[in-house]
Amino acid sequence: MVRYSMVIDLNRCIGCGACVAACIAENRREQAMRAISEGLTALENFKKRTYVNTYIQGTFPNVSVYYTHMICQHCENPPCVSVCPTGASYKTPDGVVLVDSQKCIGCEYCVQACPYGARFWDEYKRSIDKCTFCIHRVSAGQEPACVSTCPTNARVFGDLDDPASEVSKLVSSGAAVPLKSEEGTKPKVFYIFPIRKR
Amino acid sequence: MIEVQHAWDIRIVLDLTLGGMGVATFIYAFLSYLKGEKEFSLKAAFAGMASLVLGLLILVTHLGKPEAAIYTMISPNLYSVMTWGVFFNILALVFGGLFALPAVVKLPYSSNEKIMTTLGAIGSIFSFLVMSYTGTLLARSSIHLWRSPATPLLFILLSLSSGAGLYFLVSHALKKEAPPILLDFSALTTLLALVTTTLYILLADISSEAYKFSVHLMLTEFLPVTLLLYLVGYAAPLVLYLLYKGKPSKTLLISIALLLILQSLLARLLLVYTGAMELPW
Repeated sequence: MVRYSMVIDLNRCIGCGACVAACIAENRREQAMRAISEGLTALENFKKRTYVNTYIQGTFPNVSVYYTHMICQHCENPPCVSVCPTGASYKTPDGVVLVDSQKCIGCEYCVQACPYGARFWDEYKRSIDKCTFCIHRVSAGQEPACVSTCPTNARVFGDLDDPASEVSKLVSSGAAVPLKSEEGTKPKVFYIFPIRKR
Repeated sequence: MIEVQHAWDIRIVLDLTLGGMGVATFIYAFLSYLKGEKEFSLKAAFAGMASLVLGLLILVTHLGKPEAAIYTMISPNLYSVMTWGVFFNILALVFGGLFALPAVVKLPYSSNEKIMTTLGAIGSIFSFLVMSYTGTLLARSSIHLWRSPATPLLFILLSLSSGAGLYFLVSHALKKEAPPILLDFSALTTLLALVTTTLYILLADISSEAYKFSVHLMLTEFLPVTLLLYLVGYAAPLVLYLLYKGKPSKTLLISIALLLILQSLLARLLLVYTGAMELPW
């Protein structure tokens, strides 16, 4: 059994946003087209499955910039799954957290339960939406769209249970760490923090 | 980064307020039924159930896809507080409704004391569970202000206060005297709710950043609501209660009843709207 995981190396990220664009093109194309046709307000409120924020640190001349990435953390112990009243949010045997849009009632309890702010209501699909690790691509032997698009290989995807995989090596070396481990959610997205920040 | 929650709005506040108030009124009505006030109790119980139904109807307008709500019944997730809340609400409505319906329609079992008592008792049990659920729902979230054992406690106290308020209004409408013990009890629940709310604020210093931010919101952006809650929701009913004890009057009782309901609405509104979560960045 595989256990899909992702490592995001924030040192490698150049903030180009290609991962965000690739995700939209792969998973939220119709929603993006609709937002474009609706105008500026709709575009400003357009929700993304993954996003990148820019942080500027320090004072001149010791200034650095780094980029932070947010994405569903595909937790081992996902609070969004345990609070969902209909079982619309579920975890696959591969450890990927998904949403069955047919069963989603739009109560947004999972939005309140997720400590990472990774979920949102999609008016177009009439369901909660979030990163799926591009499971449709992964099942076809491809990498998630954001991973295959990243020009600096800042995002690495693989099987955490395979000791030979890059993600497994990065995690076991201690270089990649989870966010908000105190929540006890055991995320499967790990981050290599910027050297200046560490 | 700290972000204020935007997923839940006034409709959730109204559902929790009306639901909590309705079930508490039902319990009081059943207790009064046991004491022999048959006819009036059924009408008060009916008012309670009507409040619960109204709350649920408002909740439905908040759901993004209400037509999928059937999945809470056909594929329930038993680990979810909300699933249990759905069950408790339905069962409270079924048993409570069967108990209260003879107030408006003649039903064959309404003269059977044993059946009515059983329906009322089961309805009261599920009503109490609904009351507990309203706070537990919030406590099982990633919002630090809500994620506290004090939340279910506060919501139970608010339900008991507002339930007494609705009960007083029904007694006034039906020209019945309000039980003095219920008035004393509502003063006690108001006092305890005041203490609990104050503890929420005082505990900010030893809490997480998100919790501190929520309390900061209570004392800045939402200060008018906080002040209104303390002055109109908590202090005023207690003062009027003391005045009523000295010299009972219908005007005072109606004022107390309305303030008790307002207390529940304001406290829930404050808590829901100041809920903030701490995002990793």
